[in-house]
Amino acid sequence: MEPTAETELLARCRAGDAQAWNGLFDAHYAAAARFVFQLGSDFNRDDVEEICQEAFLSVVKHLDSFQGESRFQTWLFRIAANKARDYREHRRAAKRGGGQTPVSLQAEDPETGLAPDPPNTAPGPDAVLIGAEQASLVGKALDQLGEPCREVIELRYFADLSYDEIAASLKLNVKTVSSRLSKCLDRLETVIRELFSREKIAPLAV
Amino acid sequence: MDMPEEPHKNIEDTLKAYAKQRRDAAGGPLDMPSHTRAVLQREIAQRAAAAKPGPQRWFEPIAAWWPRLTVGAGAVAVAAVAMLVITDIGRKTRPPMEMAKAEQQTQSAAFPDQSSVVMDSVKKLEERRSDDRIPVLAQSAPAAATAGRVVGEALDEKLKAADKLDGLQVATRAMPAKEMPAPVPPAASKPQPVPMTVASPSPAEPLPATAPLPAPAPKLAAAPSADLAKAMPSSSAKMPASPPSVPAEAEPPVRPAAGQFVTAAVSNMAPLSQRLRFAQVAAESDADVQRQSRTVQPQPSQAVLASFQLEQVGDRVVITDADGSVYEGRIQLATESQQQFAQSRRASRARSTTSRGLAPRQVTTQAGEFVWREKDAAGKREESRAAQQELFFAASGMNRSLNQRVVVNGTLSSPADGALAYGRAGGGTMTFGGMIARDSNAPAGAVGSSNAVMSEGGQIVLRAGPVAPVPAAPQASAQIEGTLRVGNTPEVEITAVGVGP
Repeated sequence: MEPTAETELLARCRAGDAQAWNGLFDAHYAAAARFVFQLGSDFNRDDVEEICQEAFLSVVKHLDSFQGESRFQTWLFRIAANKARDYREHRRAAKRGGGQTPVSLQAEDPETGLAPDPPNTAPGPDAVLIGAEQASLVGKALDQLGEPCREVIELRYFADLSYDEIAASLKLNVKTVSSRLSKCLDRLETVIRELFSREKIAPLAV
Repeated sequence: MDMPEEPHKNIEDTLKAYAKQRRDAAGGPLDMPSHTRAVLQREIAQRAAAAKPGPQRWFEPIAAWWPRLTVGAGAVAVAAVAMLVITDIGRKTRPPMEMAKAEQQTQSAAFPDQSSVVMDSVKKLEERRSDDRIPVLAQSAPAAATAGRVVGEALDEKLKAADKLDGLQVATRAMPAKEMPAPVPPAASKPQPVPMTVASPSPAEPLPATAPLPAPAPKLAAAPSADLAKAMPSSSAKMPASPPSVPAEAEPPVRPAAGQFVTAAVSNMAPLSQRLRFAQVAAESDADVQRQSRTVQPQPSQAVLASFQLEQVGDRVVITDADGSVYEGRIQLATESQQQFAQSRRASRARSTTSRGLAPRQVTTQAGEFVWREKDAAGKREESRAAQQELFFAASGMNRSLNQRVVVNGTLSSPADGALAYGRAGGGTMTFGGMIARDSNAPAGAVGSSNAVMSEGGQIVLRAGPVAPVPAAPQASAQIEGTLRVGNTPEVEITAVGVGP
């Protein structure tokens, strides 16, 4: 979207134009959902949908605080990253507290007497297992990396933002972004190597 | 902007492979679900409704601006108080001399035309006087000396008019007795300045240039200049000698030295030197008094200002009534309309007096009785008043006895024709029989026990000698005509005459 068109669209959104909001959602929801999907190796579409809903709800509430110093999508991705982190932490806390009720795949429906048989579009069981293992390890490595390295890596490799966009979003110098990203990658490599050696799994092949 | 100079790292390949794998895992197109859109649109609608401004009330702008309005009003109040304080401090720190100047400026501003005219005349007269003084002192011609004296008298009058203070201006000139000027009849149009000539038994002694006048000297009766000219001796040899009963060594220090003459001029603009007692004129005749006593109940105004003392301080006038009530006000030159009004009242009263005859009027004071004879009621008094200026005053205050507010307005005049005289009933000190200057029946030396001698022409001549009581004839001539209002009662006309200092 052209910057001028985006500015006009945001102005209409600030004025309460519902159609403008719909246009804004259509323009940025897919990119935000894909970005959120990469932020967690265990995120599914429902998780992404929930995180994106929270992110866009925050946009609706705080659009007036957007100063236009960066692109709207960069601002939106930062909100989505924060919401994804909150979601992940919340789910982790729920796991520790036993907030989930396990459902047996062999359990029959009390009304129909049929057992659930959901369709599975994923790759084969072995590939899925290996891929899940590797993605899980990268996710664990990013979690161990912590802020601010996690954020700058996500914006650079998952959101595909340039150094300038990252600098504008984080309000940092471009050279600072480059230096920080280089150091964070070194730390991430160290963490991943340690995790992979511990799990005896080969790193992900490109 | 990418950083190509950054060395490639293997971890980047791992991250890119992870990202590609996750994107592929995301599957088909990711569109916003309808329920998510509905939730967001509901939130947008709520926020839009909350942000929609309602009808603005009239006080909302004020309520929104009240802190600034409060601060602004406070700043204005502080500035106003500061200005008041600074102004007040400035007034208090002014030196007293500036206060006196301001008062004089105010007074001169009240009479701008007359003061300017008077000052111009004074300048001219001073020039003429300086020119005339040299020949007067250099030559002993009586005519030249007389001209200088006349000019000096005129100058005194003008200077006195410019000052407007107590109406007293004393000009002292040293002049040998042998150069006593012959009297020259002055112009008939200048009757106001009345010189008082004091003859000394030893005329050879010089008089100090700044010799003070005896205190009561300015209070001597005024006489028309024409009569004065008649009374003036043509030379010092014709001057009446001092009475043999007066020893020369008993001369007080304030008495002028021998051979000197002190000329005192009494202003007709300000007949009061400092203070003067007045008594209100009683009813027109005894018959009127008896008729009023039968038909009219005594009014409270009759007790007010029956006898009072009038004091002039600058342009302030303070009237102290017999019961101690004090009325304060301002005094100023009477305007033309006020003078016309006073003259019309005077003329009407004179007509009524003429129709009733010349019955004497009784003026009652606290100390005694006063006899007022108005022999030339209308004509001569009008002439004399036309040549002088009257003072208008207005005073008000609370009467102690009646506990009511008293307002008195009037004109204060001092006729120079000597039509009024006063005396004490039973005291027997003296009673002038009408006009001093014009009454041919008044014998020379009728001034009584004082050492002032009245000549044939009516001039009063003070001889050097011991201090003797001097009649306060000018005060006796002072008269107040005006109106009096006590409380809510209607105004009544009053006429009061000066009865003493």
